[in-house]
Parts: sequence; structure tokens; C-alpha cells
Amino acid sequence: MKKNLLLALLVLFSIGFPLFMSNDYLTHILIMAGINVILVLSLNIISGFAGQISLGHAAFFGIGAYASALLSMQGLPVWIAGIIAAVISALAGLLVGYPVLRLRGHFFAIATLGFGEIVHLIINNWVKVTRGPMGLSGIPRPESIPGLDFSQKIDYYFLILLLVILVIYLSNRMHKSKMGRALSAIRADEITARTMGVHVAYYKVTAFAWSAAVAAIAGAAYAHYVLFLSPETFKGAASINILLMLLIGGIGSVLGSVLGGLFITVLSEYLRAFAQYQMIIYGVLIVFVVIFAPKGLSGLLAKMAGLFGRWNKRGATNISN
Amino acid sequence: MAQPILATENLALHFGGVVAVDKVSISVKPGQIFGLIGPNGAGKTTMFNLLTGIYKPTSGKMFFKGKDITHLPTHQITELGISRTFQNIRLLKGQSVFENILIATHYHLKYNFVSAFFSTPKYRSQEQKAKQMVNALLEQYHLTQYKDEIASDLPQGIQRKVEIIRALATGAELVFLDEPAAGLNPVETSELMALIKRIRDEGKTVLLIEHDMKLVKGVCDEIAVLNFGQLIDQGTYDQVTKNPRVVQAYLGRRYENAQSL
Repeated sequence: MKKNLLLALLVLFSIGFPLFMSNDYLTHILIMAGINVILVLSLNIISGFAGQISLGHAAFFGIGAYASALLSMQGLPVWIAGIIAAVISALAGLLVGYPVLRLRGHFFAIATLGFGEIVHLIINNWVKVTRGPMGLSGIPRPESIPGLDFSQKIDYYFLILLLVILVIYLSNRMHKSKMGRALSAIRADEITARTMGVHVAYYKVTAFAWSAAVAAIAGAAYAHYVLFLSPETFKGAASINILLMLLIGGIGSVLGSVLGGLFITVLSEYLRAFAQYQMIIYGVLIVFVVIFAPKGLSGLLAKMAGLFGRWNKRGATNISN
Repeated sequence: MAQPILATENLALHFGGVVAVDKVSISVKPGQIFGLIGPNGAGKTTMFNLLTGIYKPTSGKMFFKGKDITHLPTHQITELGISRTFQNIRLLKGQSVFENILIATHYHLKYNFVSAFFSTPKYRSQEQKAKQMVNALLEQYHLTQYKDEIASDLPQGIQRKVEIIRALATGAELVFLDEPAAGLNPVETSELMALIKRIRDEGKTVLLIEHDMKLVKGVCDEIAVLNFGQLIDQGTYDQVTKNPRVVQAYLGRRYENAQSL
């Protein structure tokens, strides 16, 4: 009950915030943060829920971005192009996941690392289609719908907010259903999961396909906002960046994914002046998170809420005494 | 004679040159507590791993209620009605007792992800039913007080019990228990004996690996003895413990002529 109220307030705040602070720069950062949050949530499905670390998630981000951009440039409405891009990305996920996720251990991480590189190389070298290092320009904006015209940053912000809410809802539904339970059993112990009747390979591959599809939606949202794509954006470093946000936010937690995405996006904005030291700062941050807050920001928040609760209770008993 | 609930025909598993299970043929009658005993390394746990599809046999066949399950994957064997516990308790780390048992209802839930996404009545009623089932089991086996505790933080005896209840929660007719008395104190062991008998009395069949001979003697209706992967005897406790080959396997050649274990 209390949680729902908090959620409603948060959504209201997210809607109201840019209306009062109508500042293009801030809105831009929030849009980028929203795209990152979707990306982190997508990675959380396979790496958080199912415990299979993916080191090439930027590949699906890239597939989504390029597929949606190229399709819409062929004249397809952006909305449909985005959905098709998600399907293409999910199929790519199936293609990689099917052979690799049947194996246990680190094979998956290694395979996704390779896959990430391959996708980056394709984007970089398939000049005829992707225009390679020159970058892809002339990407259309989403067609306006009644009330929202996406050439306005603030309108695009609302679109991203809607997508974020949708993906959060998807993640939560998944987590609370038998699929989520199967995935967390797989993460904890594959043998046990199997003996409890869970078709392990099926769920891992399905989770990966969902994860890829959601990452592609982030890609499409990025492409039709920035309107220019360059292979640089989808390098291996981007994959690591997504994983970093997930780790700092709290792997396996939906709230953590949101916090991680927001926190790192805003932080990197503030650290823009020290761009070359950014990785050092992230490195130190990761070390701190691993040692002091293994469950990330969301774990820290829960701990604080627990402390506050205890403090509150003690206060109450003191009064009643 | 009634059809055996579980039967193996010349079941064998080779790891390279090592013969872990050597042409074992056993048959288990329904409603029995069937003991699988033998010295360390005799291939008992390997048998369990074969029968639950975790290992694939090199040769031979296995049947559950007459159905050939030799090539089925583990999750399908579970769906047919075989469930197990593990020698080194395998509860899901960081999950509560309730969550640990809830996972066993997995294949009973027939809704798809779309109905979960929209939280349809079908989804809600099935989820509710599964949760009620788990709560009823917890109540029935006096575990309700531990419901929300992290399972792996509980005492060994409770963890064993949770694992056994989890195996039951799959709806299995045939339950494999792999050394359930390991690490238990005498009080916990006698509680365990009562629990195992209760499971049989509820109409299930139990296949039991155990080193604690008092427990084996106390509960098993029939026993198979393995040594170096071979079946050396099958019969009642009194029969097998009088077999010189069994005595020899346990105590060595010198005691070949001893009366019984």
C-alpha cells in the first residue's frame, strides 16, 4: 500500500518535474538517463534475474538503433520500425543464446563479448548500409501523435518516461511470475532448478531474447532522438558501461537498475570536465560498491530504510514507555 | 505382482575407464521405502543422478511406471513424478523457505507470460492455488514458523526437512532421498524416520540412500546393496545383512564369516 503511494508520487514527480524546470539541457540529460535506464533494465533481465553475465549488451542496443533507423529511413513509420527492430534483436538474441546458454559457466559471458565485437565490426564496416564510421544521418523523428510532437525535447521526454514505466512493469511482472521464479532458481543453482521441473535452457534463452528486445527498444529510442548514429556508441566499452550501471545500482533489482542508470548518467554529466579520468572514478566506485554495498544502491537504500524503520520503532516504544 | 514403479535394466555408466554403475537391474514396488546402500563410492548417488536424468547412462534402460525414461531430460522426469533431495543440501541461496518450496510448483502453473503480464484471472487463480498448496504443506509438516526465514540460515535438520518437503511439493509419486540423516543429531534422525514413514503412508514411494544403518533397519521395506557399481544383493534388511558378500563389502574379507552387520 505504502509502496504504491510512493510509486504514484514518483511518477507524478517525473511527469511534473520537467514542466516546472523547463530547461532543455536538463530535459536532454533526463532523456539520456531514461534510455540508459531502459538499457540497464534490459541487462537486468538476463544478468540480474537469470544470473548470466552478458558482456556484449551494447550489440543489441546497436542492432535496435540501426535496424529502427534504417527501416524508418526506408519509409516505414518509426513506431513500426521500432517494434520490428525489437523483434530482429530478439531473434539475434535467440541465435546467440540458443547454442551458448545450454552450456554452464563462463561460456555465455565470453560468447556475448565476442558477439558484441562482431556487431560493432559489422556496423563499422558494412558501409553500404550503415555508412560505417561516417555515421548514419537523416533519421526521422517519431511521427507526432495527438498532443505530443516529438521535435520538442519535453515531448520526447514523456515518450521515454512512458517506455521506462512500461519496461519497469514488464520486469516486475516477469519477476513475480513463474518465469521470474524459474530464473532466480537458475541463478541460484541450475541442478536444483532442473530437478524442480524447470526447463533451464528454455528459460535462459527466453530471458535472453526478452533482454535483447528491450535493449533494442532503448536503441530505437536513442536513434530517433539523437538522429545520428555512429559505430562508436556501440563499442565494447558501452557494454561494460551498462554492466557498471547495473552493478552500482544493484544487480537483480528493478529499483537498482533504475537508480544505477540515473546515477551514472548524471554523474558522467557532472564529470564531463574530467572525461579522461572518468574510468578511474568508476573503477574506484565499483571497488567501493563491491566491498561496502554488494547489493548496490538499492541494497543501500533498503538498509537505510531498515535502519530508519528500527529507529522509528524504537522511538515509538520509547514514547509508549 | 504389481507393476514396479521404478525399474532399471542393466543400467550402466562409464566415466572414461571408470565403471561407476555396472549393469544394475533393480525394481521398486509402489508404496515401498526402498533402501540403496553400499560403501562410499559404490555408485549410489550416481544411480540417483542417472535416474533423475542429470547423468545419461552409457547403456541400459530405466522405466518409471512402465514408461521408458532413459533419454528424458531432468525437468520432464520431474514432471512425470520423480523428485529428489541432495546429499549436500541444495536449497536456493538467499531465498526464503516459502520461495524454496514454491519453485517446486513450477510445472503445475500452466499460464503463459502474456497472462502474467496482464495479471489475468487465470494467472491470479493459479498463482493463488500454488501459494495455498505451499502454505498447506508448510502447515502440515510444521514448518509454518520458518516460512519467511532464509532457508540456508536454518539448522541442518530443518534444512533437510525443507528440502524433503520441496521434493514432495512437486507432486512426485516417487521421492529420492540422498543421505537425509547426514549431519543430523539422534533426535533429528528419529524425527526424520517418522517423516519418511509418513511420506510412505501417504501413498508415495521412497528411494533412500543412507549410511545410518539404524535408520535403514528402521524404515526400509526392501534394500539393494551396491559395491563398486555392481548390485550385490537385493532383499529385506535381515536377508541382505546375512549375505557374506555384503558383509565383505562393508567390513572386508576377514569378516566374511561374521553373522551379520
